[in-house]
Amino acid sequence: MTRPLPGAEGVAVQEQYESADQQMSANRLGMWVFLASEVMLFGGFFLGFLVYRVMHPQGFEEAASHTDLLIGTVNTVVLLTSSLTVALAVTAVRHGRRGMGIGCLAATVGLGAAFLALKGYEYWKEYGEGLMPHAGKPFPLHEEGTMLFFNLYFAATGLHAAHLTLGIVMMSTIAVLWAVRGTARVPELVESGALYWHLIDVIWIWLYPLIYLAGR
Amino acid sequence: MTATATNPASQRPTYLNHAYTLWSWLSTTDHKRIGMLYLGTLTLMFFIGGLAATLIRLELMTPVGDVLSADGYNKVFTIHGVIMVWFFLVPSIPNTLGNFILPLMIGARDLAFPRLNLASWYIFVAASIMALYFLLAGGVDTGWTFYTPYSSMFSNSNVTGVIAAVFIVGFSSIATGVNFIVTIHKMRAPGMTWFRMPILCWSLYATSLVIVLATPVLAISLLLVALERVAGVGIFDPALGGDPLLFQHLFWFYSHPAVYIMILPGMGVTTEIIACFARRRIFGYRFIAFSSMAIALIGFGVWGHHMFVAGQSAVAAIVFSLMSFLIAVPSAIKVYTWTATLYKGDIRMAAPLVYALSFIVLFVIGGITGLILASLALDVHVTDTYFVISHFHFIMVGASVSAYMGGLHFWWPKMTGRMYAERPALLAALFIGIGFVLTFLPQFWAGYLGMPRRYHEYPDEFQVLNVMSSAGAGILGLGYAMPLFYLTWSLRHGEPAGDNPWQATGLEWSVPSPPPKHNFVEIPVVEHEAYSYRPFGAQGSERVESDEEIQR
Amino acid sequence: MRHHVRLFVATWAVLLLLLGGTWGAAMLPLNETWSVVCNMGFAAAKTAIVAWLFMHLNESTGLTRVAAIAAIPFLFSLGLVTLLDVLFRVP
Repeated sequence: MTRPLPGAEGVAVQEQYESADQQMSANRLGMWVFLASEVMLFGGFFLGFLVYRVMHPQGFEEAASHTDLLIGTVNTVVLLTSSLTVALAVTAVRHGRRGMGIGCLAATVGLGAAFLALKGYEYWKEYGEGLMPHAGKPFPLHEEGTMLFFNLYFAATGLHAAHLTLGIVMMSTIAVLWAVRGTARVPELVESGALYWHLIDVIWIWLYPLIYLAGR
Repeated sequence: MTATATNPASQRPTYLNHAYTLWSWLSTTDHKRIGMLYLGTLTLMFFIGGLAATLIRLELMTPVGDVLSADGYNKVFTIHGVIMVWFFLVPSIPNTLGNFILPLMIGARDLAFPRLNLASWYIFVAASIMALYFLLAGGVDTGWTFYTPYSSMFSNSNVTGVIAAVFIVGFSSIATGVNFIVTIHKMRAPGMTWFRMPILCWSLYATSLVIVLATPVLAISLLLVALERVAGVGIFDPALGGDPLLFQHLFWFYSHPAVYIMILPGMGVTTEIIACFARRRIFGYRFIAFSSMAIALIGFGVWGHHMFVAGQSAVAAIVFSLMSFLIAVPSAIKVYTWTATLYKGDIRMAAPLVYALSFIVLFVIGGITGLILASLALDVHVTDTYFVISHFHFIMVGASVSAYMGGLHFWWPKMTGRMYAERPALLAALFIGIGFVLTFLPQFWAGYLGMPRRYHEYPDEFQVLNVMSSAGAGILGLGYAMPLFYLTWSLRHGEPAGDNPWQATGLEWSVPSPPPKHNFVEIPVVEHEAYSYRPFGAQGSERVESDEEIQR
Repeated sequence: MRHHVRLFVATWAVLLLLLGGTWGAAMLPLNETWSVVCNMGFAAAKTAIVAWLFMHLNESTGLTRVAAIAAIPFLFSLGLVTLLDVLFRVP
């Protein structure tokens, strides 16, 4: 490799590697391969939405019309914006801008938390309407497949929220590390963490139409 | 380098003797030590799974249920399946031999992510303990396939706990898969081009691709079953309009490729052994390398042949049937290349080669009966009978474990610095080969005559076949137990092995046995193709390829 | 540095526009096929932009790009062949 990778300067090289470049590119590839497996994980939900919508088109459209499009759309804006802040954090770390980087990470964490708060409010509303399984209230919809839709919805958004929570923990940890201990391992952590965060965003980009827009 | 090899452990620092404390093992990030940790753990799991198999064979000696109750039998075959599939066969070759050999083979100091590698072992151990606890305390009666709606709505056993354990062990698999992929891409020594890599590296690469892309799909299918059980979130519930076949699609999208996770590394090991003991360059290197990739890729399109009688559409069934026939092509290519390599080779019958030859024989039998199962009409007759049991045991156990044993013997001198005793090793290989065939060949007949799987009782007319099978299992068990003793014995009393007891090519044989902590003092530069073998004693010398020539 | 900041803010703006497009298309009285095509098309466009710019695929090696799209054919075949079952199943 002739030209050094962006961000490879000043990285501590671990003993199994010959150079910082090799280490950085291995880290990046490793993260991308891991993300491929994450895509396959959520693939199970995509397949579920596909198969069950084919089987129960009316039920799915009716159920989707009971989701909260406004919260869903606002949440998409929130996540897309958090993707911007995390991308800016990578730019900051590559240029050694510690203040800007920590700020961007804090903004990312804040936006992630805002997403979870809105999602929680949405769950609470759905609980009130009896759409949640085992909510102790009669399920209000009667078309076949509507309950299936909501079960799939809660499972998929729940797993997505779990990933986001992990992302928030990661980002906060990295921000604290950066603030307290300086920049030794931070560039690699920020880059890998950012890739993970973007993937959470991408998963939501696909869940959004599957959940909120079916049959609108 | 060769001169110092006679006395392995005492003078020179090796990965084994640089520290002796328990903590030095539990906190190690050395791929060789982690490989040994896996070897110990997996051996334990293998014998636990084997104990369950023993109970099954004891029960089936007689047509009546006299050893186990019907429910107990269900739980025992679930223990056998779950332990053997996820806690032995899937990690067997990659995590022991692969972990140990892969970095040495490609000229790297370690895997790309050594700490992730250690983490994968801890995750594995935690998941194993969890699985054993839930399987033994209460047990699970669904079989290792966890089919819905039985697993999600009706079974009163520890399904959730075992599902959680399998879910967790998936992280361990994926960590290893990611590690291998990145290592092969990024850590090869200068000059070690893709087509100079030993075939085992190709097969580990193909295996890792399958692990990374298939395991998460298993995770999600099991997660949904657990959600249905724990939170009542019905996803596969027919009462809600859900489709139990969707679970089977997701489950087999992993679990069929999982068979390739088990067999591909075995194919790689077999290739190494055959080239070495036939003293020949492997025939058709590129064919055998690409056939591994082809098996990995086509393997993703055959899962529905597990569902021919489950009610899937005829269109899908035809596609799956065609794909299943298609995957026989790269598999056959491999068998032909091994045979062609052996042809006119300077063959030396050592224990590893006997295992490799068993691999070929058992793989061919398993493969050809697989074609019967891939045929739509024939499959209807033999689905869920002992014919299927026998078929997949030939591949997953017969072939796969033979390769594992062969590889273990082949690299044992490298791993420990000691030679095992050849006579008991040959005897064990013979017992395993004969015992295996005697155990499972009768099951083809029993299955074809209609004996269903997963029952603890059967009609009287199947008893002769079952007694044969149980007798074979006794020989097989003896064969599997023997290495435990003579390999352990060799650790202390074996002859010092020297750097390269088989006069094999490959970078792993250019370093001392056992290798030093960071494998290579200086990263080697590779200038030769793999397998530049010449016959034993050619040009008046036993040495085939001097280390300097490879390493320079 | 400034270049990247500008680029990323512009990317974000385009993503929001595409989100608006997704929402707008969903409000149009399209039939089911077209609405699915629109939804999936917009999602694919957003994904491509996030992956290409935010996730730095534009400056990555070919290998990383291959790794980035590696899962897609497998996911696609999972969906396609399962659909072959679901669509043609005899009730």
